[in-house]
Amino acid sequence: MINLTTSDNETFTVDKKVAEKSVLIKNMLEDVGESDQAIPLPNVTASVLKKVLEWCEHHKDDPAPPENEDKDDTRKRTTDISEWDQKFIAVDQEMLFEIILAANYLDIKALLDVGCKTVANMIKGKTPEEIRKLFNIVNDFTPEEEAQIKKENEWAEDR
Amino acid sequence: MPTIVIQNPLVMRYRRGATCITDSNCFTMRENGMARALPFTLYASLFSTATTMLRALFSALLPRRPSTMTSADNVPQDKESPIKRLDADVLLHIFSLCRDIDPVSVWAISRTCSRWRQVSLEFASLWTHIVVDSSSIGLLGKSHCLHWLDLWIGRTGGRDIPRVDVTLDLADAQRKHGWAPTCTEVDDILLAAGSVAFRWRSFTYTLDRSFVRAGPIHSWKSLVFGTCMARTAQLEKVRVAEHGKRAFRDSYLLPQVFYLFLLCNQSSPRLRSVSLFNIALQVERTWTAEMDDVYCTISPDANIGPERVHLVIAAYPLMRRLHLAGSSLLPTIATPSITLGRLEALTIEPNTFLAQLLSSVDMPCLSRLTLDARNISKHDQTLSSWTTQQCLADILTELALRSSYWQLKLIVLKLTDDAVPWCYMESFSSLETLHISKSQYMDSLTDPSHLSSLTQEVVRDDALLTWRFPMLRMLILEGAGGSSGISSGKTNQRLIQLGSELKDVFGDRWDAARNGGGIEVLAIDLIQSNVKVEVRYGKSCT
Repeated sequence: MINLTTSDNETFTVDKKVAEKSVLIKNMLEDVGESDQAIPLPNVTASVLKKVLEWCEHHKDDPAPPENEDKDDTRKRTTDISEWDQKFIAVDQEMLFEIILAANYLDIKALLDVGCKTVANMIKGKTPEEIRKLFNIVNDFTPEEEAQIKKENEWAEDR
Repeated sequence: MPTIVIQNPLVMRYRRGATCITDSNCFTMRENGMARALPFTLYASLFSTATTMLRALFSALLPRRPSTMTSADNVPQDKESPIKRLDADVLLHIFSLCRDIDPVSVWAISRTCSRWRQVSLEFASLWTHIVVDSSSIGLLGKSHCLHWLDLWIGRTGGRDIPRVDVTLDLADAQRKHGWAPTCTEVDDILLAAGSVAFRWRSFTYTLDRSFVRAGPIHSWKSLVFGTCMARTAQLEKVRVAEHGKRAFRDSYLLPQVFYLFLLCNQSSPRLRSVSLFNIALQVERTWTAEMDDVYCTISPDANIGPERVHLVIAAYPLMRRLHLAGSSLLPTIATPSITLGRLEALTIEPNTFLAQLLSSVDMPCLSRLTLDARNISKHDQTLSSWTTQQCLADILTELALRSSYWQLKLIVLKLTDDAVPWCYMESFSSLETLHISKSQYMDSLTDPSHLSSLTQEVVRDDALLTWRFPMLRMLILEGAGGSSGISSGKTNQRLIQLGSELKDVFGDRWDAARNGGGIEVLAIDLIQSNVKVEVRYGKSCT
C-alpha cells in the first residue's frame, strides 16, 4: 500500500497498483523504492484526489496505452467516452477542470483524455458567444484582433 | 537531463509543472518559470525534508510530455473561470480533440478570447482538417467560400505540417443550405484545395449536380487541377460521391472528373482506400498499385449500367477487400470475366444486380464473405423481404457453384428479419467462423429451431451420419437492441441464461467433437448492447 498526502494535508492509503496508474507516482516509486514515507502531492487537493483515485481504482486493470502513437494520424483517435467515464466526469466545471489539472500533473493520460474529450464535446457546435457564456470567459480581444475577426465575419453576413 | 540551478532558496527556475521542495516550503513552478509558495508545511524533521526533496528531484528529472509553451501563456486571465487555469499544453490537447470531433469548431475557438485565438493561430495542426460542408458554410458563409477557404488553407502552415485532410462535402451544404454554386465556383473551390494536393492525406469530394448553376467554364482550370493531381504522393484515402442529375451540359470539375484524374495520374503510391458513390468508368483503366479497400455503391437513379461498375472493379486487380452495394435499373448485359487474384474479403449487398455482376468475377483467394442486407431498402425500395431472401440465396448459390469458394473461412450475415439461408451455405465445408447479426432480439437468434443445421446430424449420400460445417470453431450471434421484455441493465443475466440453454442444444455436437467425431469444438459468443457472453464447452457462461 502507498500513502499519498494532498495539498490540504490529508493522507490517502491506496493500493500500489491503483496509485501506479499515475506515471508520476510510478516513476517516483521506482526511483525511491519501498518506503513508508507518504508521497506529497502538493498540486492536488483531497477532494480532487478522491475523484482521481476513484477513476484509477475502476481502471486499474486496463491495459497500458500504446506509447508511440502516430501523433499525425488523428483519425485513429476516438472521441468516444465509455458509459462509466461519462458518469464519472458528470461533475461541475470547477471539479472537471481540477480533475484535468490533476490528471496532467499526475501524468494519467487516459484520465486527461476523458476530461479533455468532455470539454471538447461541450465546445462542439457552439458559437464563440456560447463558448464564452458556457465557460465564463471574458471577451478580451485587442483592437487589432477585433478588427481581424470583424473582417472574417464580414464574409459570413450572407449566411 | 535538465540542470537545476538554485539561484535563491526561495526562487528556483525550473520546468513548468515540476514541484520543488525547499527547507520548509513547497513550490509549484508557474508557466513563466517562477516559483509560487504554497501553504504546505509537512515536514517536521530535517530527514523527511531531505527525502522528500530527493523524491521531488527524481520526479522532476523524469521525461515528460514535450511542453508547448506559447506566447498565449503570458496573457492575463480571469481567474474566476476554471478553464483559464489550464495551461497551453492542455488547451492545445482539447482543441485538437475539437478539431477531430468538429473541424469547424477551430474557427469558433479562434474567436472566443485573446488567449484561445493565440493558441489556435500558433498551432497550424489545429487547422489541418479543411472542411467545406454544411457546418462551415453555416458558420462562415457561402458567398465568400473561396475567401475563407484560402484563409483556412493558409493557416495550415507550410511544409513543416506535411499532411492535411480535405473534405469538400458540397452536396451536404447544397442540401442543408440550399446552396447553389455556379460551376465556376465549384472549379475554383477544387483549384483552391488542389493548391495543397501535395499535402493531402485524405480527400473527400461530394457534389449534387442538380444544385449547380451554369457559369463560365475555363478549360485551363481543369489543366491546372490535373497538374495538382499529379503531386498527390501523401494521399492515403479518397472518397468521391456524385448525386443528382445534371442540370445543364456540364464540363467542369465533377467528382467523376476528379476520379479520372486520380486514376490517370497514378501518382498516389500510398493510396489504400477508395470509396466511390455513383462513380464509374466508361473505358478500361488499371490502378497498378496495391489497394486495401475499394467501396463501390451505385444508386438506381444514377443510370449507371453494370458494364461501367464492372470496369471499376476491374480497375483494381490488386485490391484486398471489396465492398459492393446498390443496384441499377439498366438492363444487365454480359461482361467479360475478370480475376481478382489478391482479393481476401468481399462485402456485398445481396441483390440481383450485384449477384449477376459477381458471376463474371473470379476471386480465387477469397476467404471472408459478408452479406449485408441491412441497408437494401435505402438503395432500392422496390425490394421486398422475399426478394432479399432470394438474392441471399442467389449470391450464395453463385459462390457455391465454383469450388474455389468452398475454402471460405468466414461468413458474416448482417440481416434484418431475414431467415438464415442455411441450405445455401452447406457447400462451404471449410467454414471456421460464422457471424450472424440480426436486427432482432437475441431470444429469436438463439431459438433452437433456427440453429438446427448446426445442432443436428444429417444423413450423407452414402447413408452415414455427419455434421454440417465440421471445421466451424466460432459462432457469433449478435442481436440488436435490448432483449424482449427486459431492461438493458439485465442484458448480461439474460444472455447468460440464453447461453446456458444453448449449452443443452449444442450438447450432442460438443460430445461428438470430444469423442473424435471429426468436427471442431464450437465456441459461441452472444453479443447484445455491448455485452458479450462466452458459451464454451465444459465451462460456465461468462
